[in-house]
Amino acid sequence: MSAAEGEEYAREAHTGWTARTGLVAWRFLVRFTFLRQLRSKKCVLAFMFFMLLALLVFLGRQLGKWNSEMFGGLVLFGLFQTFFVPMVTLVFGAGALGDEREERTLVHLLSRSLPRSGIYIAKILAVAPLALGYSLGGLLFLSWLSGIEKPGVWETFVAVGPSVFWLTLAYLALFQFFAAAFRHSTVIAVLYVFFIEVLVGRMPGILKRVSLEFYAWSLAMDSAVPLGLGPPAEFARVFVPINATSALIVLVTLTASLLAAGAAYFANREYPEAG
Amino acid sequence: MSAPVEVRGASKWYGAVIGINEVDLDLAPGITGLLGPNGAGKSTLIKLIAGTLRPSLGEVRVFGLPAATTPAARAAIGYLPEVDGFYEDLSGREFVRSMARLTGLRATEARERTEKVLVEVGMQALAKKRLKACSKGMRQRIKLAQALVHDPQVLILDEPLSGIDVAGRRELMDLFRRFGAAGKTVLVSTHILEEIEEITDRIVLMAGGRVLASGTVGSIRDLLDEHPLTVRIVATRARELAADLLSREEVTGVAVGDVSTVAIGGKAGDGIAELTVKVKAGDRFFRAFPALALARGAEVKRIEPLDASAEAIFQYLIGGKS
Repeated sequence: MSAAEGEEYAREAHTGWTARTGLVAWRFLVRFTFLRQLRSKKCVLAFMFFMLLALLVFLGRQLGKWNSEMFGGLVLFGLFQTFFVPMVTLVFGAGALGDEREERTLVHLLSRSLPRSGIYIAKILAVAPLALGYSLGGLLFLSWLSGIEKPGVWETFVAVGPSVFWLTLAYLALFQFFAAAFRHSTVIAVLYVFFIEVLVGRMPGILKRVSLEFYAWSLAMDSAVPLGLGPPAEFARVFVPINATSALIVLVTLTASLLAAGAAYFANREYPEAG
Repeated sequence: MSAPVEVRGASKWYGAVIGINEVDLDLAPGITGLLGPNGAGKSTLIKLIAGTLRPSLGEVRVFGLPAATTPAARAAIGYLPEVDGFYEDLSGREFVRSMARLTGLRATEARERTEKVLVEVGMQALAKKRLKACSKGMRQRIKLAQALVHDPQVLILDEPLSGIDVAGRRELMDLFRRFGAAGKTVLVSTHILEEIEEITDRIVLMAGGRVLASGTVGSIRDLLDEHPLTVRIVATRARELAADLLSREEVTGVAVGDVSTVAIGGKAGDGIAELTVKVKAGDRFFRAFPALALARGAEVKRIEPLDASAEAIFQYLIGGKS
């Protein structure tokens, strides 16, 4: 038996820990977090907010207001991407880890035989289906509810879906990082959305490139504008997008970097208040 | 063979505040009591062993593995934290079972272990209750159950008897005794010496972030007899009291100083003064002093050891016994 094998044997004999038990625990944490977030009041709140948006779209349809320009400018690139997607990702991204800190249950995770970075990744993986369900599912549902025939529901989804997908993941990664770094991460996240995404992100010039939404819109432009689904006309005049490939590279790189940085930060950060 | 838990030169700072300072400690199988006043560093030491904090200097190892960075080390530990944090919407049973799953137990095994530990902590019948509706004592038992659920070799219990009624304390202390007898390493933190004396005589005494003494209660008392101590006493009839004190074998010197009568609420003519007493056997001195003061008719306004470490020791050893 080699020294490493000897150490492994001693480790198992005294602690019962193996890579398999670690994996079982990690998978359970993903499921546990998913179910807790699914049943949370915040999830209901997000649903109610979505229903308000759906009601607005439905009323617009009844009043015969929707054409592709109106729907794209006001709903898809307006209320949906600018307010609904950040809100949903904030609820789940800041909530998965933030709730553990607020409710002082983090100690039960930190004292288990799970690597810290594994806890962080498990948390974001658990909430990603919920956030994507709301954002992509919401996009499909609103497109259908609008009653617009040209472009059709699927065409709209194919044109705008990738930007919504990557924007959702990027926001999740950012807001979970906030949750690892700040005790009251929801407040910080709301301030971030308001100042960076809404205010700075709509300024003329290059400054708006600090916002995630800029890259999401750039990603959607090439496919959405030919379908008449561009951003609001007054904004389109000052919005100079980068090409879709560059936008995609930025969003993917940012998401991966935020995730890696967050996992490393969480692995090394201490939470004395956790107990 | 090394001890299951080894703390070597461990220090922990929270910014400029010292949590613990150069602590060396071996925890052997059996029960060890961790005693000390608030702010002594007990909780910091416990968190370091449980692996939720890492030392600023030195190391903490469980079965030879670094506690904070090795999942396998934490798998060997059952930790009952002082903090009262729960997933409130879960029932006690669901909570314990979830914690079992988070240690890597399969669903069936987790279910079986959960039922077993719920019986052990006396919560089987009540475990269906939502945690938010549970009393402090019930929540404490559930916390203990989650610490035991994966059958750990090392149990770290931070104030485990807090909120438990007298009968419940007996049950749980019996449970700790059984774990100790089964060869598990159990560290129990408490404020109350009598509690721990009932289940073990092996204690670690902390104050000011340091381990002041470790060993049996008896051996620590013996150490105290050799520990010179300075005690400040403010009393009426102080000069007569000083003469009485000097006649005692354990008193090596007394200095008499003036004190403001107004500041201590006395009257002029009471003979109030401050005595600085050097003693060589504090234990005996503190036992004898009340009778001495009473016999002299002196009213003691204040009595305090001038050594913070000694104060901590006396608070537990003398306060608990006299």
